[in-house]
Order: sequence, then C-alpha cells, then structure tokens
Amino acid sequence: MAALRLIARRFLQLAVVLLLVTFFTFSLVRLLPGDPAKTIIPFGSDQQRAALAKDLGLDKPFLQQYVNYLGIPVIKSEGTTGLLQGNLGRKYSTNQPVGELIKQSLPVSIQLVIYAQLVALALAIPLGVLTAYRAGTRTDRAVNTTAFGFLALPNFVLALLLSYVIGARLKWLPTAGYEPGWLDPLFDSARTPSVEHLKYMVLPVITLAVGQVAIYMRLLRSDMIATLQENFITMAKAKGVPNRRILFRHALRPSSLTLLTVAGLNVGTLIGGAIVVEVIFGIPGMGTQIATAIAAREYVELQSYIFVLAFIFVLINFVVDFCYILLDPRIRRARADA
Amino acid sequence: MTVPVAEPTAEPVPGAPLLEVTDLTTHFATPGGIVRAVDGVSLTLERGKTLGIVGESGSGKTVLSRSIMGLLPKRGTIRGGSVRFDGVELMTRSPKEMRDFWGARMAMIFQDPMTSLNPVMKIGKQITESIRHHLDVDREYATELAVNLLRSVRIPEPERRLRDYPHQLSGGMRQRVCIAVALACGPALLFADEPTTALDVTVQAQVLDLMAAQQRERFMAIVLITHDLGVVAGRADEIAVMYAGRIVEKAPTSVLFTQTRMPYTKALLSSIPKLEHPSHSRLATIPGRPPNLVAPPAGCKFAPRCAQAQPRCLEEDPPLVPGVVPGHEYRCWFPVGTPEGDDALARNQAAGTTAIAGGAA
Ligand SMILES: Nc1ncnc2c1ncn2[C@@H]1O[C@H](COP(=O)(O)OP(=O)(O)O)[C@@H](O)[C@H]1O
Ligand SMILES: [Mg+2]
Repeated sequence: MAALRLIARRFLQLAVVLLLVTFFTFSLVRLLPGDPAKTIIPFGSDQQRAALAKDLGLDKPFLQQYVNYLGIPVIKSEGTTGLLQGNLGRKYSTNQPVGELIKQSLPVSIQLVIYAQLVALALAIPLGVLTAYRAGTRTDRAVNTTAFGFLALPNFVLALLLSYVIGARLKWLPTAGYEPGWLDPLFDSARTPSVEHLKYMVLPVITLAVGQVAIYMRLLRSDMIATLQENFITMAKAKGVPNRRILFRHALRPSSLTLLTVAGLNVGTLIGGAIVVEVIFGIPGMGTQIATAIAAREYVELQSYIFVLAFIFVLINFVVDFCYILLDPRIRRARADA
Repeated sequence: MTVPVAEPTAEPVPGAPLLEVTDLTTHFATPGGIVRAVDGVSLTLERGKTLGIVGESGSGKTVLSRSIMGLLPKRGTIRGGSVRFDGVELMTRSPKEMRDFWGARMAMIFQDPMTSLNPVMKIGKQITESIRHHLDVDREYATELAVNLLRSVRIPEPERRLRDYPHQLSGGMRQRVCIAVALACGPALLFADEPTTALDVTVQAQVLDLMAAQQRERFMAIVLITHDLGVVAGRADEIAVMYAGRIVEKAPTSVLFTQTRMPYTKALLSSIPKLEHPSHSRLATIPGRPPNLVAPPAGCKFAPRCAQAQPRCLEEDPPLVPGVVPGHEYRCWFPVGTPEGDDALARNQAAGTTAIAGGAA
C-alpha cells in the first residue's frame, strides 16, 4: 500500500518535471536566432517561406504551438497528436518522423553512457575503497592527485589527444565511426550487432569516464572513511574476517548511498559530455543529432530529443531511489512510512 | 643442531595462564600530544575464570581490551609491554597473524548492540561468516550451527531470525545476537566491553546471566568490563579497578569489597546503585573529573579528587603494592582501613581541606 503511494507520487513528480522541461526547451529553442524556413529553403522567396512556415505550423501563436506539440486536444487546433499520443513530431527538412531518428541514435548514446558509467565506477570503487583504507598515506595522495588531474582535463582535449595518439599515430583503434552493439537491434531490428562495436567505443568511453572517476572516488572515499570508524567494522575485525572482506562486504554497501545518488544525477553530465564526444568521434548518437538539429533550427526534432533525454534522466533517478532500498534495508521501512 | 629460541610460536605452552598481560602500555599520538590511555597494566587470567575491569568512563577500559586483542589501528598507536595468550606472545604479531586468534580463540562483545552489528547484513550471515572463515564447514552446516547458537542465547524462532536485519530486533535481542557471534567459534577468552550499559535495566541481568551460563558450558574465560561495580560484584572472580590508564587496585572479588585499600575503589563502592533505584549515572557522584591523559599529574593520579590526599600524594606516584591476601594489590600511600589512611582522612577533615586545596592556599 505504502509502496503504491510512493510510486504514484513519483509518477506525479515525473509528469511535472517533464512538463517543465518541455516548456523550457520549447521556449529556448524558439529563442535561437534564425528561422527554420530559411534554413530549409535558403534561396526561396518570402511567399515560399511563409507557405512552408504555415505547413510546419510555425505561423501559429507560441502557446498554441506548444499545446499542439504536447498533443493536448483543445478546440481549434487541428492535427492534435503530440507527445501525449507518443508522437514526437517530424523533422522539417526531410519529413522523417523524429521517433524513427531516435530509434537509430538513442541506443548508440545509451550504450556510450552505460559503458562510461561502468568504466568510471569500475575504476572509482576500488580506488575509493583503497584511498579510504589508506587515508592520509602516500598512496592516498598519489591516487587523489592523479584522479583530480584527469578531472581538470576538458573532455574535448582528452578526446583529441586520444584520437591523435592512439588512433592516428599508433593506429590501434579507429578515430571515428560506429558499429552497432547489443542494444541497437532492440530499437531497430534491421541492425545487427558487430564485433567491431567495442573497438569504436573504447576511446569515446575513456574520454567520458576519466573525469568522473575522481568525483566518484572522492565521494566513496569520504563515506568509506566514516563507515570504517563504525563499531560494526571493529566487530567484523574482531571476528577475524580478512580485510578485503571487511572493506568490500561490510563497509562498501553502507558507504555507497551518496555515490549511487550522484552517479544517477551524473547521467545528466554524461549526456552533456556525450554530445561533444560523439561529435568529435563521429558517432551517430543523440549528441550528433542534437548538434545537427541545433544548426538546422529543427525546433521539433530538438525539442523531442531533449524531451526523451529528460525522460530517461528522470527515470534513472527514479530507479536510483529504488536501489536505495536494495542497498539499505532500513530505508524500506523509513520510505514506506514517509 | 640449534634449537630456535624466542621464535614466536602459535603452539600453546602447557601450564601457562590463558592470558598474561605484563606492563602493557598503549599511547595515542594526537595533535594535542601523547594520550597515555593505558599506562603499564599487568594482569593474569586463568581458563574459565572471570576478571572484572571497573573504572569511570575514560579510564582506559576499552583501549585496554582492544590493545590486548590487538584490534587498535596501527597508525598513531604506540604499544609496549607483553601480551601472552596461552603462552604465545601476541604483541609482535601482525594483524594478519592475529586473524587466527580473533573470533576463533578470543572474541569480543561491544557496548552498543545498536551499532555493533552491520545494518545491511542479515543476522545469519553475520554469524556464519566467522564460522565459515575459521572452521572448515559448508554453508548448510554453518547455518545449522548459527541456529543452535541463536537458540542457546535464547532467541525465539532462530530459523526465522537468521533472515532478519539487525534493525528488526530490540536492543536486548541484538546484544544476544552479538553474544552468539562472539561464541560462534568457541573462543577460550571473551572480552565483554560494557555489554549491558546500553540496555534496559530489566534486560541487563538476563544478558549477564546468559553470558555466565555460556561461560560454564564452554569453560570460557571472560573479561567483563563495566563502569558499575555492582555489575561485576557477584559475577567476577577477580576485579581490577582502573583509573587514568592504570590498575589502581586488584583483588579477588570478596577481598576487594571487604578490604578496600584504594580511596578510588571506596568511592566507586559507595556509588554502586542501590537495588531500589538502579541507575547508570551514579559514578558522577565522585567529585571532580579524571585527569588529563596527555599531561597527567606528577604524583598519584587520583590525588586531586581524593578526600585523604596528603602532600606526598601530589609529588610521589604510589607503586602497586601487595596487600595481606595473596592476589590483592593497590596503589596508595595512605590506604583506606589502615592507621595511616584513617589518620590522613582525619587530618584533612579537621583542616576542612584536601592536599590540593591546602597546597594551593
Ligand atoms: N584513538 C584514540 N586517540 C586518542 N585518544 C584516545 C583514542 N581512543 C581512546 N582515547 C582516549 O583514551 C582514554 C581512554 O578511553 P577508553 O578506553 O575509551 O575509556 P573507557 O572505555 O574506560 O571509557 C580516553 O581519554 C580517550 O579519550
Ligand atoms: Mg569504554
């Protein structure tokens, strides 16, 4: 019963967040200088452009366009399918449904972000545990300094560096391009996974992950240090349990709530970083699409991309909340009571 | 062929006492200076016996027990002296070597059962993990042992409790679980650091009785640490009174009560909670506070709070001297119940002052 109420409340929050996000992107996109009709037919006459704008519904008042985009059925707005009906609109220039475009590009970006997150965590968790265990020693300082050095390195610099050294000079890995992976066929059955997939992902993933390691590691380190002071750790030690087990079985789980929260929120940062990285490495993901859509003033396409990303972002943090419950049984009761 | 001498060995030495602590010191290096938390403690404990360690909060009981077990973190801790367990020297052993002792041969119960169990690990796991680590048994057998342990500490429905998390149990039940964890591998020595301080008065006696029953059944030695002389009164074979990191009086239990020599012990005795209104904050009735352990006073550490302190007490540190009864030792220049002591007390009372006040005037 309590769990149901919790879920209902979270869905309400989800709806509110998405409403706000769509409204702001809708407004911001329209504040971009330039005009879609001009981008689509750069050499057309004013009448041609006006006719095109009318076709695209760009001549209507701002609010009506918004309401149409959402698909809220109101009087005097024709063609009332929109987001609510699952219609993400069409690309102005080619008339392709945006939904189809997303099917192609979304799995690419999701895989990129998942790998980056996994690599970042796979490095940060052992390092966080190590630096907490060795807090204040030379190891601790050395790891911290290195990690923060990488944090200070901007994504695009690292991307260019990696693609130049490892891609262009050493020729170990491709510098650009993409091959479908395990997720692509789920979105578009025409695509088949390729063994080359991971090869293309290595450099972009490293670029994205490296900066996150320092953040995750520091969070885990400080929570771990606090946990290692707890009585139950001394008790575990007094049982004769080996250090590795104390660190990873006793201390890690109760220390990872902050890390989990931040890793969830950080998906936003990763998506932002993915835009740059995808463009640099020529990966046909959401980032590349967004960049092109901005350049072409594809209002509807852009709005829908951002809507989908916001939706995923909120959903992930939704999942994070449920992961808390898995990590800490005490929260089960506390959350249900709230 | 040469016989290796003084090579640390894990083989028990026949005839040696179970625990023999000699001149143990444990100091902490802190930014404020060296904290002399344990300062030259010696004690002996035979198999199956109970040693009570009593002292106010901050007297070094917890540090002493952890130092004996070797549980203190290496960094910032300076340990000296000798700890022999079953004739085996423990001081020189690395934490890795100590793991064969921890949980298996010596175990510990902590003060606060609310925080000494891992909140995110099921109770069953917390019991079986040391069984599986120390004894070579499979999971089913370890679980069976855990159920029996929970039953032996009188936890109802032990099979179901195995799957519970600590927060689902009451404080008393949690302390029973802690006892089960400590008993899991049948240790020869159990440290119980204020095992009942955090519990309801009604549960305290139950938990202590439970420990005593298990002790008899397993022929286990117990170091029972408390700030309440009343707790160890009927349960310890011998009692050591601690003050400022040292043993100030040690005697077989009945002797300590009947032939008290150290004024601090006397003060503790008079602050034992009466049966009709038991309380745990009674020790605050000794006026004054324990000394600063970074820069302790020159003479007797208790002198500043002592009703019968004389100028000599402020200058000279009294050594531990034997009493009449074998096994009785105390530190005092003017012991309670002796002509010198009575005299000193009478003198102070007549002057309406103590050595400290008199010295300052
Ligand atoms: N890690 C440490 N660093 C510095 N001082 C400590 C540390 N642990 C304990 N102490 C000090 O040692 C003294 C004895 O503490 P403790 O053994 O916990 O007392 P008790 O258990 O008798 O109440 C206290 O003054 C305490 O502040
Ligand atoms: Mg203590």
